[in-house]
Amino acid sequence: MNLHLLQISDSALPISGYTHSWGLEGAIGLGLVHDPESLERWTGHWLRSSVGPFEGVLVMSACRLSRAGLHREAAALNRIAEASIVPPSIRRASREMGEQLLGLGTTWAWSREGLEPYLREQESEVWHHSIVFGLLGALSGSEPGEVLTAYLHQAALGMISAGVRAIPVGHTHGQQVLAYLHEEIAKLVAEIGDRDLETAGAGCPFYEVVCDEQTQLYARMFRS
Amino acid sequence: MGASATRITRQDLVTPAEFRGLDATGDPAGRVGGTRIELVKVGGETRLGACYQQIPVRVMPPFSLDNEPAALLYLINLTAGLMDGDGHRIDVTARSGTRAVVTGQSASRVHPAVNGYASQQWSVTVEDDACLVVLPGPTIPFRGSRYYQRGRVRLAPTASLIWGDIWLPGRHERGVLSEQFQFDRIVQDCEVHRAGRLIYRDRFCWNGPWTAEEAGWYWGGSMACGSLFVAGPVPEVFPEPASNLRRSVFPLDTGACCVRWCGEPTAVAADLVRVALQLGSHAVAGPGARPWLLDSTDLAPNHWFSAPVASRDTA
Repeated sequence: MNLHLLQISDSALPISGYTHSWGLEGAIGLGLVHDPESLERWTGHWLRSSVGPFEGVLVMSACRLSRAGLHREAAALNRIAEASIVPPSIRRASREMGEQLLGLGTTWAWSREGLEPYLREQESEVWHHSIVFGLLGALSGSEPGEVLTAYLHQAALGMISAGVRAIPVGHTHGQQVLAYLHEEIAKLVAEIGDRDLETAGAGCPFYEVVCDEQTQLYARMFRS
Repeated sequence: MGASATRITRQDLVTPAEFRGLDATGDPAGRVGGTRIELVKVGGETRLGACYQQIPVRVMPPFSLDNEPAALLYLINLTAGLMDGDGHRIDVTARSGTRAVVTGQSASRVHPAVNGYASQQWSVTVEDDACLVVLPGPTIPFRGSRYYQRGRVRLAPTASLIWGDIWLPGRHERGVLSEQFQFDRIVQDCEVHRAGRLIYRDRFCWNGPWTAEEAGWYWGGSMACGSLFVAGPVPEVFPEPASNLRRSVFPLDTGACCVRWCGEPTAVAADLVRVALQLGSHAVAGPGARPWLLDSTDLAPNHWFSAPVASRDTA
């Protein structure tokens, strides 16, 4: 088992991850998500239409470019993320988590040296989570498909954990929802594992509107 | 004749990864056409400079309406819509100081695909101190259609651009014959660069047909969605949208702005166009200026973006 990949796949890493729900709180506010079944449906759609085809492709691309030693090209992926993520709350979440994960990576013996060329790159002023995850996944020695699987799993777990707290549903239900999504994650990895970087993107206008409406809730628990 | 008269061929069109392997060239009905348009400032008006047009796309000479700072330029498709294998390449260069609205004459109907796909591919350049509003018009993807829309935009440092897309679910108001979300695949691929730097990217692939649940996820159960990209000055407050609309304004950290709509088709179109033309006016004349074109008495209320007469009467 690759303990490095296991660690970066923890949904509690980086620490700020628990402050985000990636729009789920907005969906709860609209009554779209209210129990384990609706949480599973929401998370499944999110994975299939947003996380997988956009961030998933960036993860794979970052991982492959890193393994090929193309540091500048890997860092340049941040521009794609920056220009593509429309809701400010989601863009900030992606950036903050990326920069915190990068900061942690520079302190770990197994990744410190490998990250140095990226830190020297002036191409990128910001670092997005999916891209840092792909780089660290490559440095962990994992295959791109394993890195993508780990990313999607931690994304699903992050969303479900937010649901456990915000709906709320029990932890057991939360773990069941995650288990039900395992097949979906495996299917997604098979589907998007070979996609070209040019395809990276997600067109979910209603999801983006929900993310925006979340920021206007009178009281909320999450920053995104 | 010059370079601008060079015939547009299929080699000028890009095939996205999602449509590689589909046979666009072998379809005898597939037609490649398009236009290259240069907008120039002559005196206080915006007029056509160099212009090349190739059927089935035609360009109407720009209308310059009294007391309207922006010229109105229509692109016309002489056929019934985008057929399988059709490819339109549209190049627009807005020279320094120009103000224009470029729009289609109606919604674009994307007909069912057999072996290939239909495509409309834009290349837009906006020079300093120019302000260009691009409103291609609603897209109606028929059952089994495949469509690739590509946009590449280059902005000079002080150029302004407002670009709006409206997507409809298909022929949705035909009673039992209605088609909703029955398309095969839609690929949107738009990138905007300012002074060489990527500032906005809208890339997605919608694989149909959609179930009601999928339509709910993507469009919130609405019959239309809209998207507006704005590179230029943006007012602090937008006018309130109609109650049958969801609209969100998203500032981008690249200095641009994006607006999304979900709602009833007529309401989405009316609000998107009003916001677009208001922003065009705002970019040129500043806060409080009336929107371009909409209040003009020289513009008949029969355009795809006109407010329905019934709505006006009851407003």
